[in-house]
Amino acid sequence: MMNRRRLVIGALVAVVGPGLLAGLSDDDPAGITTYSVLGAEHGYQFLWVLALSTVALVLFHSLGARMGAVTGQGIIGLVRQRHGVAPAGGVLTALVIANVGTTCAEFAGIAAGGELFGIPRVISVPIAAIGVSFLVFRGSFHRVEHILIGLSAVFIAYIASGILAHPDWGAAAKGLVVPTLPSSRDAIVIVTATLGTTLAPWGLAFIQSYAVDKKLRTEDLRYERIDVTAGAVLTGVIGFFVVVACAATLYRNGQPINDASDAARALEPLAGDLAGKLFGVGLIGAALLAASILPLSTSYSVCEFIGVESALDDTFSEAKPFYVTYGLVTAVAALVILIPGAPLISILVATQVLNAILLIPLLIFMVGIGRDGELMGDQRISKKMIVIYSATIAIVVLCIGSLFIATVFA
Amino acid sequence: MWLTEVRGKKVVKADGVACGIVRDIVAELQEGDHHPTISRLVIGSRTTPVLINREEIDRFDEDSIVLRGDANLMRVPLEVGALRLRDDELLLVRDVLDTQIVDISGHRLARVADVLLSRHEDRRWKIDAVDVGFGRVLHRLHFPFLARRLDEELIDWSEIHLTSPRGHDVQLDASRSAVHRIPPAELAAILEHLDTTSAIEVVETLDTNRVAEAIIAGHHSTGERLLRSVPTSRAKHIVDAMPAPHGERWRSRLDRRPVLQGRRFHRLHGWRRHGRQSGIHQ
Repeated sequence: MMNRRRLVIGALVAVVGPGLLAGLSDDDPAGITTYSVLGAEHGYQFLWVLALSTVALVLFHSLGARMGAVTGQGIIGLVRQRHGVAPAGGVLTALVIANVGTTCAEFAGIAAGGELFGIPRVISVPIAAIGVSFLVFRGSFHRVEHILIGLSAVFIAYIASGILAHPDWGAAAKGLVVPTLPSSRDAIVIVTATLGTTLAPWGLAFIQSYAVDKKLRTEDLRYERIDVTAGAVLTGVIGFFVVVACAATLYRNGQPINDASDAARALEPLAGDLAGKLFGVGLIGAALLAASILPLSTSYSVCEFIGVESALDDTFSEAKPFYVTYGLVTAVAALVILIPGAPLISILVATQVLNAILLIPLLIFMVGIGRDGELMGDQRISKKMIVIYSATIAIVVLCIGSLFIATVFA
Repeated sequence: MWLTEVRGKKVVKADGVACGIVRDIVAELQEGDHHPTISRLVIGSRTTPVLINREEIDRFDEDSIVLRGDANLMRVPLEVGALRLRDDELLLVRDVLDTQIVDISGHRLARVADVLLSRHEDRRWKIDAVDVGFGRVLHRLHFPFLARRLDEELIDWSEIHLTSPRGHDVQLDASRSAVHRIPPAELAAILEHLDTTSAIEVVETLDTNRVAEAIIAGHHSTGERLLRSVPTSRAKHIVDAMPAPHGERWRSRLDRRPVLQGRRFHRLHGWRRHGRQSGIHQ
């Protein structure tokens, strides 16, 4: 009995990683900003969107991990194999542009988080860029994974910060389970942004490629489901605490914010110095985690497209395109943040739009390939699950469509 | 002639009436044949495909394929949307183009960008090689000016091992896979890069001594992943086939950490110092 339990725990520990990292890295500075604005401007009423996003995250991250384990290929490689170079090239181009833009957002988060503690961006950003590059260039797969999972522990700061803000738990529980439909354009924007920031194209591409790199097997999938569910639920829980921290303080006081560092500053007088500092620490940790994973996701995808699939365990000489892509994405994003007067807001808005547009074809490709019996064998999506996946895609399309209509008519 | 240039070509009867466009090409893999012969063309739509035997083809023109006057088109009965192929047949677009392959001579994983077909002395069209370079990808994306800067990366058909499900089965079932010729160290490097399922399938086709040599030559983490994934009896035979000191070490390794299911977890050498060695890591 004891041996069996050890076996199960051991197997689970061995597969943990893809779901946890892909999920938690969605709580990046852009995500924290979205959750902060959701809480600060709308209180607890849209918490149900987070619950919905978490379900969507479990569904699609599970599918990505399953496709990676069964086919041994990432999503871009599979799109190229099943649909040819033109659709794969189109998706890859959009993904690379969106990923570079999102990496800029991560370094902007590092810069903003550093400035909360008096560290200028000319110091924090290059150190972060060199640090994440060193980790990936010199570390083996398992060392990189252990450090990134260790870095994820920083998200506890948000939970502590939320509790310190003394939220109204009853109102939070009601907001989580009783849906309130958004009526204004601003509300539609923030609801769509919440869904979009949780279910990100780069996260979907990452989890599948990373499952391949981790050499997950079909037999590992039942444990991998626990990893994916834990990662997605933790992502939702952290988002929940960010929203309640801002709803309990900033919303109650009618204090508007523009980004996550504003929220950290604004929290200090309302919820205490510690809550604000913890929020800042969480912001830097979240940005570092996502700044490590985004270039990694890009490298996997580029290599799958050009046909030289590479792994974290490969040396530089064995996997030049992989490491060059990683270095380029990191360097370009860090430089953009350091250039005085760079149009950062325009870059970030354009990136969010591109991520939203890219999400729909990517989800459709995933479901299409996931139900392909030739590729997936007996692990293909069942007819019942296709209905659930299609309904989820329909909700995403509805949100993005509503946003588009609201923007055009505004 | 490139496969991607044939795909999409118009197929016309001798009287000029159009029959459809080429969707796929069927190749026939036969024992001892290093360059498989093109046996049939698939035209029509995905749901109502039509097969044309090579004997029905008169000639390949610049922009179309012309059939003989008495050509007989076979409408294919569909089974769950799939073409019925013989055990030794392969669809080049579905099973080869853009799929991953193992380049035996370069001992690496690559992706097929195109398939080179040519007419041999016996007037049959055969598969000569596959191109795995990015140049052909750029060509297909209509960027010939960029493609010109890149060299072709051709690999002879006899030097590849297909990893797509159908291609893999067709190659291995007939024992035609070039995998059998790979030296142990190179085989170990390939197994390290393949996903576990594909690696196990390759291992299952090799004799026990070859697998034992490859596991000794490779990284212990790859060996452990494979030995814990094959049936216990097969793993025991592989370990028994190793020289005594290696066999002893592997037996104790496999007995030691059942709790981790053979996954790499306790890796002590977390940082690469001078690049990864491909030699013995025991």
